[in-house]
Amino acid sequence: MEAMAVENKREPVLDVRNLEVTFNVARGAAKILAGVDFQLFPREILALVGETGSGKSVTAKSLLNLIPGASKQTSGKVYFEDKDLFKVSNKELQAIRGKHIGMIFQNPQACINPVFTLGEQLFRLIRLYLGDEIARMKLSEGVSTKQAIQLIAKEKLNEVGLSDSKRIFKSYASEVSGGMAQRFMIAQALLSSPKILIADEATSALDVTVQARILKLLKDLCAKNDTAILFITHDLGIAAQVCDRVAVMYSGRIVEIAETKKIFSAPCHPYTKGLLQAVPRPGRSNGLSFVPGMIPDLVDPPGGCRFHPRCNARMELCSKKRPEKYVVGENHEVSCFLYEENLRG
Amino acid sequence: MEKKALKKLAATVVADHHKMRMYQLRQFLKHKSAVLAFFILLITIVAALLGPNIAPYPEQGLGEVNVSERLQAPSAQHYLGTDVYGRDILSRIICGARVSLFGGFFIVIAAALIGVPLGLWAGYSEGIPGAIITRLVELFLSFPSVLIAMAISIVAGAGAFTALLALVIPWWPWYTRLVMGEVLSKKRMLYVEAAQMLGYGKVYIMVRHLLPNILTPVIVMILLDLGPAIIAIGLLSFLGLGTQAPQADWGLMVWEGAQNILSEWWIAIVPGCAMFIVVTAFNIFGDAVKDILEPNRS
Amino acid sequence: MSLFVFICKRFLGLIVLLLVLSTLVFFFTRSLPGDVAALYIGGNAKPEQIELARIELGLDKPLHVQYSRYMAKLAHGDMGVSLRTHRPVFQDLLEKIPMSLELVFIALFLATALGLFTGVMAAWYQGSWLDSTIKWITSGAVSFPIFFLALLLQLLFFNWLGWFPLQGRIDTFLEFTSPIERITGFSLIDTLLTGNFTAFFNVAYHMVLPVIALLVGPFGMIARLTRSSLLEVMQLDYILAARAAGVSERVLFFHYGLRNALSPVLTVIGLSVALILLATFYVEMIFNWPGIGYYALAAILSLDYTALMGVTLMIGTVYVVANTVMDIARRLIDPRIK
Repeated sequence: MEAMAVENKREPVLDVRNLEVTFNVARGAAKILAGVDFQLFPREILALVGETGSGKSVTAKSLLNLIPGASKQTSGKVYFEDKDLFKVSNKELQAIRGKHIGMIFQNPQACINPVFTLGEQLFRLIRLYLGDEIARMKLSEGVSTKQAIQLIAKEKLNEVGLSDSKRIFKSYASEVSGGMAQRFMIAQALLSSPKILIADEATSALDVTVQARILKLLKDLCAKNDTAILFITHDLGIAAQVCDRVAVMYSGRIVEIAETKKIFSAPCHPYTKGLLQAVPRPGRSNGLSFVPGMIPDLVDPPGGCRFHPRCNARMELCSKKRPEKYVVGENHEVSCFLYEENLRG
Repeated sequence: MEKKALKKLAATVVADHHKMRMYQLRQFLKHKSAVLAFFILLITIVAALLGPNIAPYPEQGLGEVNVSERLQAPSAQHYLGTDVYGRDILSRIICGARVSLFGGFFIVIAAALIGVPLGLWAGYSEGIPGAIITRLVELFLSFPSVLIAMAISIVAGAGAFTALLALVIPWWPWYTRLVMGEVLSKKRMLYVEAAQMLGYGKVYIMVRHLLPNILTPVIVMILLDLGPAIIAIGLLSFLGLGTQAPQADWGLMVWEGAQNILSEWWIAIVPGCAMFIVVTAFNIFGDAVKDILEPNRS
Repeated sequence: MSLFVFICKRFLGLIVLLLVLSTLVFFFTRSLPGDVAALYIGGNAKPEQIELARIELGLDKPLHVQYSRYMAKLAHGDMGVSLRTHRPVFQDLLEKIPMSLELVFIALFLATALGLFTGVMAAWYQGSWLDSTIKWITSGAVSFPIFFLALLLQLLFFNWLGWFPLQGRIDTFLEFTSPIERITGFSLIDTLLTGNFTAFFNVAYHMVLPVIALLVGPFGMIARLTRSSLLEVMQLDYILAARAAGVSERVLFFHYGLRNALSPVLTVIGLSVALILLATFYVEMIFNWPGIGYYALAAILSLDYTALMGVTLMIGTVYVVANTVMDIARRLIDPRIK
């Protein structure tokens, strides 16, 4: 009960409830997301960790309804500042995208339109989000609209470490490196100091050294802008370095969610434990360990807990009923019957 | 994994493949227009295969003249009328399909058989052969195939088979270009590198690894090329550069009927319609197949 | 590389291609069947006369000498004398080309404008009844053999409906009463310049059917390609990223997407020029339009090899130039092209 009281003090900036997404594929209906719940609190960095096929990228994209295609069904609620993003009009959603919830993706160079200069694309977004700021600058500094936009652009590029703004303005997507491109995307995403930044595998395609720098940049900038980050990744190491809390996803559900330190020091869910053990550590002499089995078929998933076929602690109950969320500590929840004693109140 | 588990996995993969093909077939059947096109083509092809055997007046189909019944409008005896020489048009259409329809198949398949291996080779080998072939392809692609074929036909002498060969010559570069593009993009993929590192020879990699992966766009191109090939044959025979009279050929038939277009219009219009219907059917069918095999393009 | 360097390179390539073309044409016309000298003299010529003609035409010299003389003359724009009309081929061409180009330009312009518009509409309203209808229409449009379409148009619009004239560029009556004064060679322009409005409308009236015949195929091709190219582009990552950034669907489609989608369309437009030129042969034949196609046909039938050389050279040049222009246009739109 005390744990609950602590939670209720902070209002989440994003509240995802029972998000379900089903795709109609060749063989039937694939339940990609089978009830995802989590909350994102202001200024925190939450990692959404999982293997390929866990549904983490689909989660990220569904939040802003970015998954194209008629052959899908979505249900659930995604609350952002008291609005259910699934119920708002298209216009409202458009207004929220980018300006209040930013997003960056895995292949930054592919995310920049190849036929326009970086400058053109950046200026467009500045015009779109920062009309007030432009007007203010015109009044206070007596510059033209074009100059105001360029000044703002220059400042934002500087913030992400791109100092040669003149050159950037004239460059095309094919002329910048991966690191530079991602910095540019980050600058765009944080233009209007959004409340949330969704980073979908934002560093997975970058070199390791560049990765470290970009992570630091993200962390610093978001702290400065009061932006919460939802960090999607398959890399536990990154989650450990940068994030405050970690949510572990398996086959369309969140199986464990806790503060980073807790997840690494005292993991509860068998899958989390398996994941952590599978990370090779130099010095350990008992060979490579892995979680046996394969990720489940999403068209015909295992009943009850989707992990049970691979779990070495499974009970009979696991194949029949789906486990709820059980609190096992402060801000620590697990979806596993092993922890059923601590049922939520 | 133990053998049993492997076998089970293999069975699942095969079953999945079968399921995928069934799904694709179901998708195809949803395109009512494509199904209709398919049946039209089927009927036409069967009719063409049977040829003189099902034509009501086979001798006329092959060229025998029947002056007493010239220029007759469609009637009970001659369903599609008779032409300038009194020959039954329906029979001529059926017999003419041999060149006009199957000629199209010949050109496209021959072009693919030449162009695809060349493209594989040029795309895969670095350096000079690739460069030469690229230049050659570019040269051919700057001019319309029919024009080049016309020039060849004029020099080599008019005739049905000559015309077909003459059309294959400017046609194959299109396949080479397609395949080269695909190979160049897939060359860097990991499975190719892996095969190289395993020591597999060039030809083996090209045939066993690259070829299956480029097959889909090639098949789509073949299907969508059949229409243009049929039109190309028609363009040549209309000018007398293809099939020679008195043999039957749709393009030639249109020419024969052109003089009388204002009075006995069916002589030219019927073969023209035959070409139009067949080509449209191929286009619609090809489009549907393309949508299904390459679903990312829509 | 910079735009300037790109254009220079393309230009050089153009020259090379033209050289290759001229050489090919030379050998092509030399391999045509028939005795050229005999045809030049015509009628029942005696062997000595044929020999004289042969010497006059320079056909007695060895091949490489003929070739160098041919190339030298070409450099000065001298394409020889037509064996049929006995006038310089160059002059013949100059006279006939504008007649054909009139049809070609109008058909090309209309095909591109209508094709782009239709393709964009089909893509924007993807899946709707409009899209389906357009798919049907464009599938049919590219399925017409040009000669069939031309004859069909004559049948429908002249014979059955009586809306448009059957053949020719202008009513024969008007050829005498209001002849077109030749300034540029383009009848529409010339008639406007000289205030000859009767002739203007009459020529325009005669142009309708031929132009329709010419534009239908390319229209279908351009529309289909525009549609599929647009739909393909809209699936790409940068569109997704821009959508996530709050850009409206309309801007995404007509601004972000369209620019990228146009590149392959430009290639097809270049191809369309070639196809329309080829189709002009047939259209001029059937509609009796006095242009280059007509001239070429006469040349083929009378084995007028100098004229044939000239025509082939000219057509080849037009193709090569059109392709080069398209290449440059694509580079302007898409700076990634090297």
